[in-house]
Amino acid sequence: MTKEVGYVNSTNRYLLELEGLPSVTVNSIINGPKSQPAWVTSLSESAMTALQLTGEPSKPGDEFGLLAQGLQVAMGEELLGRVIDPLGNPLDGKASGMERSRLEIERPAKGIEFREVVSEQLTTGITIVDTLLPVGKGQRELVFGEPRSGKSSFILNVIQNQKDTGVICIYAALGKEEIELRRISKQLSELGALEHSVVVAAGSNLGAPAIILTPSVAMGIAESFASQGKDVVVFLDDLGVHAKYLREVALLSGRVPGRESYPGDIFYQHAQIVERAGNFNQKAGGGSITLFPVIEAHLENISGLIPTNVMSATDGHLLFTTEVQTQAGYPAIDIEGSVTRVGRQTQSSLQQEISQKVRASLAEHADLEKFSRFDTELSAETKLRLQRGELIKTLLHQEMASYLSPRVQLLLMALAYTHFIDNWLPQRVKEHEECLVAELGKIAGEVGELDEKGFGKVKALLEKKLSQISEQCQ
Amino acid sequence: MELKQILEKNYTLVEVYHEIEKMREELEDKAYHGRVREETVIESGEALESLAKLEKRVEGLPRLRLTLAFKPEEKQIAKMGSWVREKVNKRALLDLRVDKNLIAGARVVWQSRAADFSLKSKLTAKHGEIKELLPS
Repeated sequence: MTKEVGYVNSTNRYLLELEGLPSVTVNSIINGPKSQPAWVTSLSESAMTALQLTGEPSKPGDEFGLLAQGLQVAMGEELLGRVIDPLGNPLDGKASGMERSRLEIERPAKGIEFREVVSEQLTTGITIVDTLLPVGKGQRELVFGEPRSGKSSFILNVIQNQKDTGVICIYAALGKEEIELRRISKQLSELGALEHSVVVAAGSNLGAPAIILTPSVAMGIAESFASQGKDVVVFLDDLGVHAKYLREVALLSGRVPGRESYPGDIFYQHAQIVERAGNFNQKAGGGSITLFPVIEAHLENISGLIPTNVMSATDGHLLFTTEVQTQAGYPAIDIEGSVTRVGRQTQSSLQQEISQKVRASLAEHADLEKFSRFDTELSAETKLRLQRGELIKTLLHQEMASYLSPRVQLLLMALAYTHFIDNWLPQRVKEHEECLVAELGKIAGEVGELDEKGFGKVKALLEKKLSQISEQCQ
Repeated sequence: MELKQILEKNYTLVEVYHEIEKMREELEDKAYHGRVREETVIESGEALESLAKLEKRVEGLPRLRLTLAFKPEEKQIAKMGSWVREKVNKRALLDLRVDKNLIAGARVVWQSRAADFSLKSKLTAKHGEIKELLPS
């Protein structure tokens, strides 16, 4: 029995140039003398370039063989609750004997014949998102935000709220510090959110090649769940860091740099990952992959190459700003600056009606607020509109790690259009937030099917219960 | 010296490079330590250039990488070398390596394909059976 071999001609950190291995293809995995895996990224007539993923550095003359089984990663149910690195090795100290199967790197996205229209809403339990900026199962929604604007808390909150819904969450951490990775896994575990989740952690200590590979691994795992008919949510935290590592590798390989020194194919690199998400039909197993790529950048860099690239490849974005966080607290989503393209079609007619009203009230409030600064004599109608806007903003505020059912969210928003506004100032709402939610939870059962009842009926129901709410929340 | 002449006398990669290195030293000696004349410098320069070309041609020769568990004697090398030239490729060079971990036998790599005929690989393949036979 003979096997193919190749020899390292030259090395530059993790970048290897080899000759030999005649049947190797791009994206093959080759294995060094000390079982160091390397990922073949380009081929020429006489040589190939590979990125060593881990292990002791290779030196010229080292022999590499083709790893016929490719990259082996655990894919099934046993992966739930686990923290693994992008090569499939467990990082949580638990048993490592998971059954692994081959993971295709850069697998092409499923074609249109395997896709269906996004029609079901992904309930995040967060009012701003579910009511005003809905995300459908299979949607790609960018999470763009400034540092320390509450993106991580939002992600953890969404993962936590998928508990008992059958939705599987995959959190891919890219280039984060070891201590940060530990904190995230610990928080997920404490929130009871790890049981339905998988963490693919590529710490900054792993090096650029393994970090570059991570989104592909996370999407590969997501596809294996989706092919079994499961709904999956993937968080790629974050693609800005991913782009920086791609740039490092491209510059080290001597490729011609493009805009902002990123490689020329940076759009393709991100678009091919984002395209793998979607809502699939029965031919492809019937599951869905909802993707939340994350990009952390200062607001002035929103028009930078990477954010605009990812924005054009996704179906909208949630904008997190420190300004909103200072004014309104959690979740710090800038409603005006955020976009959702396919999410609204997943809402019920009642949700759409209330969402439209709330957005109109908020826009009106923003206009009137500027105007009211110059004029103290405001009409009663204008004052009411201003008051309503303030009340809605207060009602949209939510405690971290909390869950509001879609019905409670609707009732909460509808409250702003009832006589509730006469007796409840924003300060009082803040003080009795918990009680209000609990009372609305009791009423929620009486709303009936969301599509059947119009806004008028919900309003009438609330008006009837106002005294009960006020009595309970003294 | 022509490549053909070098190959007639030497079978291994190391020997060929050693021969080229010897020729280079002689030329450099002639150019820098002899009586410096313009003609000598030009002649040596041209000779060094053709030596570099010769080196390039050697790089392109087919190589048979042979890893043994022991260091073979010159006679054995010549025997193996002539066999390879006769049976495999008449311009092949032996890239000899020693790895005592092979225990016995040899590992051969020809045109990016490796075949392991070492005792180590046979023992590794039979590891399970050997373990069963050994008293626990």
